[in-house]
Formats: sequence, structure tokens, C-alpha cells
Amino acid sequence: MNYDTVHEQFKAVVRAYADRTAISDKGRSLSYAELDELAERAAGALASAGVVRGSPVILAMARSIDFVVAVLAVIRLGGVYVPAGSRSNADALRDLAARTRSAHVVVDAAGELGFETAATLVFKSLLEGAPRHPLPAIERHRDDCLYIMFTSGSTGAPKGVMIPDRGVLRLVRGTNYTQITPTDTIFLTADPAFDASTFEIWGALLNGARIFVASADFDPNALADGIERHAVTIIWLTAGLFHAIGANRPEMFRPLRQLLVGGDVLNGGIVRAVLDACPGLEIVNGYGPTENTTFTCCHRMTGRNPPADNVPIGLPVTGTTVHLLDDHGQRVPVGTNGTLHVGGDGVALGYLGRPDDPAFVRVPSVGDELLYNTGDLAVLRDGIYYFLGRSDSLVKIRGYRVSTHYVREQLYRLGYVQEAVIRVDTDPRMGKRLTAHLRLDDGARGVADVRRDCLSLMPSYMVPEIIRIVDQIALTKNGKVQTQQSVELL
Amino acid sequence: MTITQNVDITIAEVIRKNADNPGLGEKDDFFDSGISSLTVVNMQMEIENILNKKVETKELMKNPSIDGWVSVYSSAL
Repeated sequence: MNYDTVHEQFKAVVRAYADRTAISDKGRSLSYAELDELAERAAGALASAGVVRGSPVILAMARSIDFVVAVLAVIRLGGVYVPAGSRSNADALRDLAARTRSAHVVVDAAGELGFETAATLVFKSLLEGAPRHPLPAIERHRDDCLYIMFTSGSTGAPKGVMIPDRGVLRLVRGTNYTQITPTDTIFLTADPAFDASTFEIWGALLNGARIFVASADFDPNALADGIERHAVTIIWLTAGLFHAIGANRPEMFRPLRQLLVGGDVLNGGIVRAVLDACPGLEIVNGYGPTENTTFTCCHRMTGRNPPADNVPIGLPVTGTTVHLLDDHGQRVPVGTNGTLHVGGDGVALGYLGRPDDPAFVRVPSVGDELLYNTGDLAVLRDGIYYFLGRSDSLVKIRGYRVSTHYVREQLYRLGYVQEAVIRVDTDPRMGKRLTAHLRLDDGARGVADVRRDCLSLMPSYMVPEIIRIVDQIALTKNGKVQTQQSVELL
Repeated sequence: MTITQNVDITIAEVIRKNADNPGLGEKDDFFDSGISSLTVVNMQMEIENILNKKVETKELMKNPSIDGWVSVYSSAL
């Protein structure tokens, strides 16, 4: 049965699967009944501290069982959880508290972050001092804000994305890209401040499955250990980490049922290599901005249905509408590039404190629903969507308009480029210029050969002036390709 | 290469190749040569495929030099 709110759905799961394991790490395990009881106790303490319906509560906690208990406690009261991430420091927390006007901050340990206020609450003490009498039921609606997650966006200024209950329910219940069952175990590997954790936490807890909490970041051996010894069946990875592991140890994913990858463009060759090494595995290319609750479109791939080099983003997630529009807000014909606008239950309530932000729009040619303009270019071909890059990817190089996405597509057509990132750098004397960072097949060519081959596919002004052949492409802390503000990420 | 491959030589070769810096000293911090966290993961898997030894990535992150990694892998079972 489906409920209107995340809290109600979670309680229904607790009733149905009370004795099943809800969450575990290497040393600890909680059943659904135990998890719920801890959440109720923590909620009691939060209520005593003044948290009420609608209160934003910053969770400056590492990825852990305690973090998940704290999340459940906040929503139990109708509050809004604001994950600060595992790398929070005092300055970041002050900024977060000011932006969200949060009166409450929950931390793992006293004094750990150097951020103390009258309303700083240490998680362990929430459980010790909590009253044990039952809390009153709360009134909560599907359009209420469930959490706020900050994204740097394309301008670099942090924006607080307000995600409602309906967005999360649409992400993990009755959807078309995954079927999570109570026999599944989902690996919690994402940083709490990264929206992949939304899928990992709620994908498990709203379907009676188990969460297994990863003990380390970026550690392939810890991932392998979780997959092999802790019966993980579903995992989400950033494209960068997936590429690194897939290129070196593709068989590592063999025990999994489903591997979801996102955050950047997927390399079709590595996807095929992993599928070859892991019969029975399904890989899902999950595309979507935080503003549409983690996933917007997904493409499912198996050994029988492997991707070509250009991996599509697939079909809209159930409960999602996708519209490709031109610069005048008109739908583009099938096969024509358009800017991807998304609607449906996943669309955020907006940005915190920015009610008129133009990214959230109503477009008359589409109808009355609120859409989020992703700023991404896409095309519909043969019934499925392909990501083409950012709509603002056009740059002027020595007077010529150049699409960095087009350049990248051409580089992939060379056949030996595994990964390509194009940067737009500004030289004080020469103006803008393109730099290509390329990862090539083993034994592939040198820079002069790549340059010569490029000239056979594109005009000379489009060929990147600087070509760097690298073994790996850098990642940010969230596992995305590292760029500077002036960089065009492809 | 086999399990008997010299640990010092293997680690030095892999790190210098990934840093694109053949002159990288044994005690030099390779993060100063542009190595990223993802490159660390890649170097780790490359080395472990050769040496058949496994260590925690966080230990490698804490010891970002050829000598540091030699010490970490030499201590591994």
C-alpha cells in the first residue's frame, strides 16, 4: 500500500517488517522495530529541545546508523532535515545555520566541529535523556518540505533545494527503473549531503530492504567487502568511481543485482566491460539534478542490452514529465536538440529564500505545471533520451562559436578515447582556448596522433589547442569530475 | 609481473607514471604533483592487482609518497 508521506510509509514498513534488519554496519545491526524505537526516543528529545513541525534541523553528522536515526527523528516531528555532510566545519555550519535559519544542530560528538551554540545537540545525549512516553501524531502532507540539500549550481553560489515528501515517494516507490524488495540490501556510500543518499536511505527504508553503511569513502576494498560479505544487492556509484573500478576490477560487481551510476556522462566501453564480467548484473544510468529529487531519467542496461559508446539517459522516471524546449519555450520536434525541462512529483518546492528563481518556471506551451529548467541539452532518439551537455556550452574561440559538447562527441568518435573533459581556459594574450584532458585505451596514440585524427572529424578551430593525455581524471569530494568555475564539464 | 614483484619498484613505477613525473622523489608528496583522490584509487587497484595485497585507501591517503606507500604495503599481510 502506498501512503502520502514518507513518515507514514516508513511506519507502514515498520509494521510489516518489524523483525527484519533495517540497517547495519560492520559492528551493529538494528531491526525495523529497533530503528523506529530509537527514532521515537530521539524525536522526543528533539521535541523537548523545541523542534516542531516545519523546523529545519541541521544534521552535522557522518554517514552512519546514528545519522539515519536522526533523520527519522526529525521527520517524526514534521521537521525538515538539513544534512551538512561529513566534512562540515565551524564556518560552513555557521553559514548553513544562517541560510536555513535553523535553531538546532545535531552533531556526532561534543566539541568535534568547533561549532557550539545553545541549540547544538549531541546525538548520543538525545537517546540518553529522551522521554519514553509516546509522542503525539503529527499532521504532515505530501507537499511539505522533507529535507533541504545544498547544491552549488552552475553559478557556484550555494542554493538550498527544498524537496517535499512526494519527491522521495516518487523516487523509490512503484517506479520503473528499479524494483526494491525486502530481500535487497542497499549500500549507503554517499555523503549525507549528496542527494544519492536520498535514494540509498529511502530506497531501503520505504521498501522494507536493508541499508548497509559503508565504512570508508573511495575505498574499493571496502566496497568489495560490503558487496561480497554483507550481501549488498544494490549500489549507487559516481561515474568517476565506477569508471576507476570498472577499468581495473570489473568482476568486483558480480554479486550485485543492480548497479546505479550517475553524476556524470557514462563511458559505454566500461559499462560493456563490467556487464561482460558480471552476468546477471543490471547497470542503470541515472540522470537527474538535485532539484528533481535525485533521478529524472534512467536507462537500464544488461548483458543482453548493452549500450553503445554514447550511453542514453533513457526514459523518465515514473511520475516525471520531460519536455525538450527551444529558446522560446516551444517544444522541439523529435530528433532535435532541446533544453530539458522536467515536471511531476519530483520537482522541488524551489530554492530556499529564492521564491522567484527563474530555474523554476511555468511554460504556457506545456501547461500549468511547475517545471524545473535543468539547463541541460538533450535529444529524443528512437524513443529514448540522450544527454548532450549543458545548454550554455557554447563558447567563442577566436571568433568562432564552438560547442564544447560537440567537440567531446567528436573525440569519442575517434574510438580510442575512454574519457574526455574539455576545459575552457582564458589565456591573457590569446583569449579563450580549449584544453582537452583525455584518457585513452591502453597502447593508444600520442598527442600528435590525436590532433591529426581530430582534424579529420572537425574544423581546425574546434580542435583543442592543448591536449593532455592522462591516466585518470580528477574527482571532487562528491566524486564528480573536478572543474574550475571557468571549466565546461562534459 | 607476479606476486614476487618487488614492492618498492612496483609502487614507484605506478606512482611516477600516474603523476606523470619520472623524477618524483621517494619522499615527495604526490598530491603536490596533481594526483587526485580518484587517481589514488586507480593507483591502489593497479598496485594491488600486481602485488596481490590489499590495504585501506585511507591509509594510502594519509601517506601520500612512494616511501609512505611502500611502508603501508610492506606492513600489509
